[in-house]
Amino acid sequence: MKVLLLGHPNVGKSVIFNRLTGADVISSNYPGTTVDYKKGLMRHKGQDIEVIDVPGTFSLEPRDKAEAVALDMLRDHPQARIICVIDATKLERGLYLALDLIEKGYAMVVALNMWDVAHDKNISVDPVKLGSLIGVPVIPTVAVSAEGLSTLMDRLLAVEPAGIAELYKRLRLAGLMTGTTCNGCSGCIAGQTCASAPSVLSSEERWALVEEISRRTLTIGHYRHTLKDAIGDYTVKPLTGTPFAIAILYAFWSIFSTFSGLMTDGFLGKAFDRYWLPWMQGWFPGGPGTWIYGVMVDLGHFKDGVWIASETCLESFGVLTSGLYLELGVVLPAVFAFYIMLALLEDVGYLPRLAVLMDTFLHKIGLHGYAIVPTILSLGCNVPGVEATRILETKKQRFVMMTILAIFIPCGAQIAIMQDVIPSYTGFVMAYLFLGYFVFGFLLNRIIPGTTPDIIMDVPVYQRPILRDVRRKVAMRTKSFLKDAIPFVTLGILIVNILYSHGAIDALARASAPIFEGWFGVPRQTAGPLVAAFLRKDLAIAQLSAITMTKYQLITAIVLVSIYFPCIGTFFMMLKEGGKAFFGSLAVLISVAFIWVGLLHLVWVILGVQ
Amino acid sequence: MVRLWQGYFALLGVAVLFCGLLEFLAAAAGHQLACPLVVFSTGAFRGLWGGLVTIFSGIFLLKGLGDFGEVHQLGKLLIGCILLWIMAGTDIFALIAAAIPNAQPELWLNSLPVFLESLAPPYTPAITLLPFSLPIIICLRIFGGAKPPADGGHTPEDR
Repeated sequence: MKVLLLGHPNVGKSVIFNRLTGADVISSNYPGTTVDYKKGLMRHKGQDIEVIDVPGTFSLEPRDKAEAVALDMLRDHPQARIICVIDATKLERGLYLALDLIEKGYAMVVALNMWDVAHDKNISVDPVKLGSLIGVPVIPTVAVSAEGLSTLMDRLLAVEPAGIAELYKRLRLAGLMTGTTCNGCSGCIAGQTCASAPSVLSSEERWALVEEISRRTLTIGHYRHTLKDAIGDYTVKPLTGTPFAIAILYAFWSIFSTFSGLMTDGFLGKAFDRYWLPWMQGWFPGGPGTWIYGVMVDLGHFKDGVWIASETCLESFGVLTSGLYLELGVVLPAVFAFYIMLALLEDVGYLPRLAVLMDTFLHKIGLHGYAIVPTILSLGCNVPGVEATRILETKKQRFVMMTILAIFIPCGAQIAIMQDVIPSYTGFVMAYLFLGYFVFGFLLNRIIPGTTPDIIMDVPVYQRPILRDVRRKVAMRTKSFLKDAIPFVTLGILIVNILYSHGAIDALARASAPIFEGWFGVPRQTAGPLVAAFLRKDLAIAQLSAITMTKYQLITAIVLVSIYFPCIGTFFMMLKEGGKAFFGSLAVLISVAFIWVGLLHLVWVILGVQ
Repeated sequence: MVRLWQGYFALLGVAVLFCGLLEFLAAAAGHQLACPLVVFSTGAFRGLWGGLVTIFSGIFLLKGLGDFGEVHQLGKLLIGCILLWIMAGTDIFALIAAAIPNAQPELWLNSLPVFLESLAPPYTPAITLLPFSLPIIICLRIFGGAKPPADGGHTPEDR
């Protein structure tokens, strides 16, 4: 049996999916977390069930790519049973979609989720009455604590498609449709399909029906503002929300750099340099001077014609030394700290508030507040960031977002290496990149044709994060990072070392010297790290630190590595998400790299520091 | 009772605002300010950015004094304290993180006496002021939700 989890964004579908299947799907307290479908298996009452978590949709007419995925899933699985998840605090909104699904003839149950939040807000819904009106079982649920889910599945197994005839019969018997679509003919009262009734309700009729059903089943008591509401209000109002956002970002950055500094400088750096590197240097077959030893363990350097072994993993540039040290010793603690804080902000419900705060600002570049979600995800890794652009409505918005993300937003791994290599200038590099994000976003918004519609943003209530969910989310993201990073870094170092040893990098550096030295103002040897940057940008920045140059050149070179081209993972995700528009993005990307890095070089020349 | 609480948070707000301004200005001028108990951080990140957050904290504390006990005003006081806790929390984390590893390349951890010595004063203004912000918890217990806002909250019609 197949079951589809459908409903509006941010009503708790992914949490229900995790609870039912035991699968690990990232769920968060803001809309747009699920932009593609996820499948999981469960067994209930001896029956094997495939559960599919689909992206949130407001109606059966898609507005963006994520909603289109939901509709495709419905079309592809006409026999599937549906769990229509409705936020109990916003019954009217969810009912519209539920009625639409019932009319289409799906076998369905309604999960009235966030029952606890509704109770806190003095909102009460009569599930029995609601179920009898719409002809499908309505089960109150609290997904985060799995409350009601067993009953939900029991009822789902027993449910039969209600269909339009049954729905209309019930509504007419309840006096809800008399005089509207049917005109009260005798056939309808007898419970048969009305010959004169339309096959489906019009949008206005359905909204009127939703209003009437809500009036009969929903009771809203007097609700006094609580301290939580007051804090919620203050954190979205610009005058009070902006200082709060500045403080949250301060905390984010401070914890990120303190934790990564403690782990890398305090422990992992020592472990790799004092134990791992000497052990590899002594153990690896072949020993110094051989080609394979240079590639895998230590390239070393020559002084007065004598080969000198490296003393630190960062200098050695071996696949098994630098490669492992970069990913496990430098980047892993940083992304781990990043993912913990991101998960906390997501689950508390702060990100949607940040989206509201940033809305006016992001409209200047043709986006809306929720564009902050792909941006913040990209600060962890560009790949999910690009995928999250699906929550944007128009092609123009997706193009602008994808392009400026790929160019100007450094990933967590890259930031961690920057912190290690240029701790005093990381802030400057980040500021220059963010400035580019807005400048080129603004320009692209003016140049690219297309619309940039406004949206109404839904701000969820603040919630206490559930430790189990935070832990699972951090573990999944960290595992995914390790799975992606280690093979690419290993491959990157291997390719660059092989190219070095065969003189290809030197030839490339010589050929591109006028561009590197003349236009960008960096040493021609920067060509090598740029090759590695296609595989991993963190690796490229680490390689830059080994090239002799001034601090201004190093800053320019790091900006160049950051923006010249997306890494391979982002490249393929852009190709997948953007289709033909990807090539447009690529053209913009290369032009912007020349302009923005050339401009930085010009600044140094004018200041006389180059 | 209300006057007492108001006076207390007024004093705290002024102290936090003053410290934030000092921290921000000292960092902007590149001066290191210190006394036996308090040290003001320098540098763009902790001094300027952190100083700014401390200034905001002081402003929120002072803005929350009018109509004391009303839920929105308590909200401002609480945000003021949360900002101070953010500063103090990150400072304490940085202090502990710096005290754990040994600076010698051949040693991993500091000995307990060295670790404890590293945690000794002087502290940043946020850590110093942290204990004085904790009475907000008692204040919330006394006043939290006791006084409805002027708009009376939501009614079914509002929705």
